[in-house]
Amino acid sequence: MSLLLAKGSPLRRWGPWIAVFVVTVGILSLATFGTRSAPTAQDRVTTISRSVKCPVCSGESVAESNAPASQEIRRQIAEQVQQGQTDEEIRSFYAAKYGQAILLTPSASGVNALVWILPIVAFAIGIAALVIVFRRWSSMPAERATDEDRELVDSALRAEADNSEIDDDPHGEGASR
Amino acid sequence: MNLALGRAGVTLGLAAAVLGVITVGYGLVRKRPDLVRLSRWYAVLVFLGGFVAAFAMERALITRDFTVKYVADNGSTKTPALYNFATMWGALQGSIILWALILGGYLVAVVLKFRKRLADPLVGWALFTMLVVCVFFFGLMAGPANPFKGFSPPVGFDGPGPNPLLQNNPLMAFHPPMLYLGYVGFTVPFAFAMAALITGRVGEGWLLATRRWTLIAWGFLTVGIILGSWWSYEVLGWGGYWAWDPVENASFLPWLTGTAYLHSVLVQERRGMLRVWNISLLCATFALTILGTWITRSGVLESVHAFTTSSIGIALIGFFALIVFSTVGLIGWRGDRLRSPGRIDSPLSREGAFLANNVLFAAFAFVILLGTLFPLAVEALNNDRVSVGVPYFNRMTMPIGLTLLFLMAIAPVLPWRKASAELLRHRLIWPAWIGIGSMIFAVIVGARGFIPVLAFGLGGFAAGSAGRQIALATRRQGWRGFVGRANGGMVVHLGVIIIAMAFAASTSYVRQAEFTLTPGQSAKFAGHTLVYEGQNVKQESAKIVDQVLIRIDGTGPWAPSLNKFANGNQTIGTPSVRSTFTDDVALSVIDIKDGENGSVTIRVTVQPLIIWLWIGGGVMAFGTLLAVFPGRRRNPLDAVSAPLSVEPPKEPTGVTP
Amino acid sequence: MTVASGEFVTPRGGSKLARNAAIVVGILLVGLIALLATRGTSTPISSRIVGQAAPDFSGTTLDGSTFRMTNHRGEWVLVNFFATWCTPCRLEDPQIQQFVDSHKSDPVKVVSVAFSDDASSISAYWVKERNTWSVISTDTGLIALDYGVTKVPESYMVAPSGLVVAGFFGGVTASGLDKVIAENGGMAVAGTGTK
Repeated sequence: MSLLLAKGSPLRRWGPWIAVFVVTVGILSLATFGTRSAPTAQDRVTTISRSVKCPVCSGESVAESNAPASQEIRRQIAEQVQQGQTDEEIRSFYAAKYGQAILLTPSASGVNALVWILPIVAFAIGIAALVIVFRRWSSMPAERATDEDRELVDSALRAEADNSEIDDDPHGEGASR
Repeated sequence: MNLALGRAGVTLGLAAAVLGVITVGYGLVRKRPDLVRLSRWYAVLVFLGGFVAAFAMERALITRDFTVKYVADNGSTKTPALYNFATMWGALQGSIILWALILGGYLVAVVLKFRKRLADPLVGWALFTMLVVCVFFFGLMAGPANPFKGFSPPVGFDGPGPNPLLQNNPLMAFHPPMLYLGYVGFTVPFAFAMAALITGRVGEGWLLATRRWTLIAWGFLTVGIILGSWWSYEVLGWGGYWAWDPVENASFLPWLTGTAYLHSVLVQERRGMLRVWNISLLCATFALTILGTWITRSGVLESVHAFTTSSIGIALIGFFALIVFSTVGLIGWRGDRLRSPGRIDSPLSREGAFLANNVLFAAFAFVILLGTLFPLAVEALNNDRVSVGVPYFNRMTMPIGLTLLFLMAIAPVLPWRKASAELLRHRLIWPAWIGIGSMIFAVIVGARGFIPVLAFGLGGFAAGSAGRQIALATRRQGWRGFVGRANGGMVVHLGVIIIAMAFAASTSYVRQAEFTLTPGQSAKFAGHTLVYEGQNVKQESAKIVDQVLIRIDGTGPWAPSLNKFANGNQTIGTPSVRSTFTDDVALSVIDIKDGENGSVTIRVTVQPLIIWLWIGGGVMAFGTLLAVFPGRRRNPLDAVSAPLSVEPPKEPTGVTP
Repeated sequence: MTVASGEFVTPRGGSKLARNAAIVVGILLVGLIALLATRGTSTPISSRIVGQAAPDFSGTTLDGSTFRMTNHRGEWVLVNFFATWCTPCRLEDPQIQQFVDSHKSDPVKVVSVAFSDDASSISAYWVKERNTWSVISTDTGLIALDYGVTKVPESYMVAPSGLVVAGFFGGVTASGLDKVIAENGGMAVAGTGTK
């Protein structure tokens, strides 16, 4: 037992982190699956309204805008929620009536899918670039300090110590050291 | 008189800029330092031109001089003085005056700061570039966006006043100037980046000289964006402070690349690396400010913030093209010869963290740019209409935001060159417990949902890390542990964390409902009680205000209203918001039925933690001030990296050519 | 090894990364600028109602009676969306009056629907202009929504069959209205008009 808890033992070093991990998983599970009141009808209307664009405004959603058209659409959505339609059905209703552009989220089919795919592609390219660049760096020979370099550093440090009163940054360019 | 004065100012500025470009350019190419030094006089004249033009316009607005068409279109005798003053930047043509004025100011500031080196080709080319930008903006004022067009007002003429949405809130006076101080501020480091490319001198000195300018411009841009968001929230009345609207995105894009630059330039200072990447970031930031200006003013993308359109759109796209092609051309031509020979040893290091930071911010900017321009692209290809709105942006940026929070926690404790797992486990354990604590607290007060609670946890983790750095610094240096770039940066991080958590809470837990109430009736919603008391009609100089008085949980009465403006028959709603540290209750009026005991329909929006957005913004601004304050220069003999086993020197290798 | 503080250094291993990256980025930017430069100003969404059956609606007119769209099957109906604060709407009214007057004895009906306006302004305006056709002043926005109206003035001509045959944006002229009726069968296709 004392071996386990000896200074420098793996349990002692990593124990706190294991605890952190366990507690985190616990809290997140509670947050995800714990009791949460089911969305009320009003909440459903709000959620759907936030994804339908106001047809007479400049880019606001029906939830945000107070234009008469938006108020009317919210009323209609509330009725449809009352009648028991699902979120998807209600959204499709408006898409059929006004065209795809009334939904604030582009569908995942056809050309529109690009807007979902391209960011993932870009991110993958970024990660790949990082990997390539690091590979290239690690295959480079490490620089070795030469005696010349050490001389240079020593004399600079001596000068620094001797002339600590001299402002070595007269132009205020900032510490680039 | 104002017309003549204004036109004279614009002409002076344009002439000085054009002559300056020619003279300085010739002097640089022909190696005539005497000519190059003349740049200071041209700078002064350009600034004078801009100042005179701004003075003339303000004078015209305040005296309601309707012989100036801009005043006739946007001013009014009924508008209060503050709004008349701010009307200069309330519509397109006048806002260009503000831009030109600030640009002239920065030009003079550069000339002053670098006055001892005006003949140096680096400074010379930088001023040349800034003068070219001046030519563009003064040229806009002389041509497509002329604010000093004449007008013959008929007898008894009164202007319509500024757009009613712009008359509702004093923030109108501050948001555009702050934003412009940021946008225009990026011209300075951009000019130096171009100069560095042209002269080939990308040694650390010059890019570092402009580092403080970049930080200041970035600070102004941050404040400008936060103020704009606050203003949106106060004015538009639907509880929205950020709608991923094209104009909002336009201001956010240069902020993202600017933030990436501020971080990666630290790698350049310390290791001499990423020079060309940093120049690219700076140029991208400036190009994005111009693209953002185009998005805002061309009318091509619909937005609540839209200015009126004019032929300025084509001019802006032309200028954008000029900038990007000269930048890309220069980088393509010179870039390879300017790359540094260094390398980054390990991904788990401060350098590695900054690289990750850059990849994430670049991805962030890419997503926003893509989402904003995607409807245009689809329309061009398919002739089809598609909308990309809040749900898309929230969903795509959320993983990036969470990863950034995680990175903010890890990076400050990482040493340069190489870190070990041991080091991380030792330094991060307390921040990790703070993160756990913040998650527990959130769950106790009722937060649910994987993403928001995870965000709170990561936020606490990052805050713990930033706090740790500040604590260590103050322990070592006293009050100086708060100032300087690194420490100020930690304070800015705290501000960002506060905003991130407030954003997560207010987006995930928003509740909205509508209620129709008769006088005296009450309603209960989301933990609050609302009582409708009555109405109150007020007559003001420019509008009739019909207020609906509501008590929230006994406080108030709060008075959301409908304003009917005398000019233009528009009815604009003004919301009323009760802010507490826990949540905001926003009320707006939907309908008022006539009659003594008429009912009213109000809309209630309850969002938690909104006030922390503004507090976080204040912390960010404060942190920027701290960062700009000169910190104690670190003793060069202090160890900065984790101890490495030093290789014994082998035979000297050759010097790289 | 010393690193020059920034003078030209020949590329390591002949790498042309910056040049190649610049070329790729340059090409992408050419595409982007071409895209942006060729866009016109945005137009809001409109419903695609022309060619569809006219949505039914009903509303109370100024004189208190109820107007119901389906009651007028068999007649040519012009549904006109307007507002008193909209200058082009006021400008088109004399044309509509002329149209009404010229078809007094025909199975033709005009109904105006107020768009984002209040009843008192409308009744005052109607009385002042002495317009003689029906106007629904109490729409909450539902009718405009059904017809996809985003800006006024906007009008739709509904054939006796109930089909929307034409949309007019920005204002109507009497002759334009007559032309549309003639092109779609004229009075011959109308049944006996009901009230």
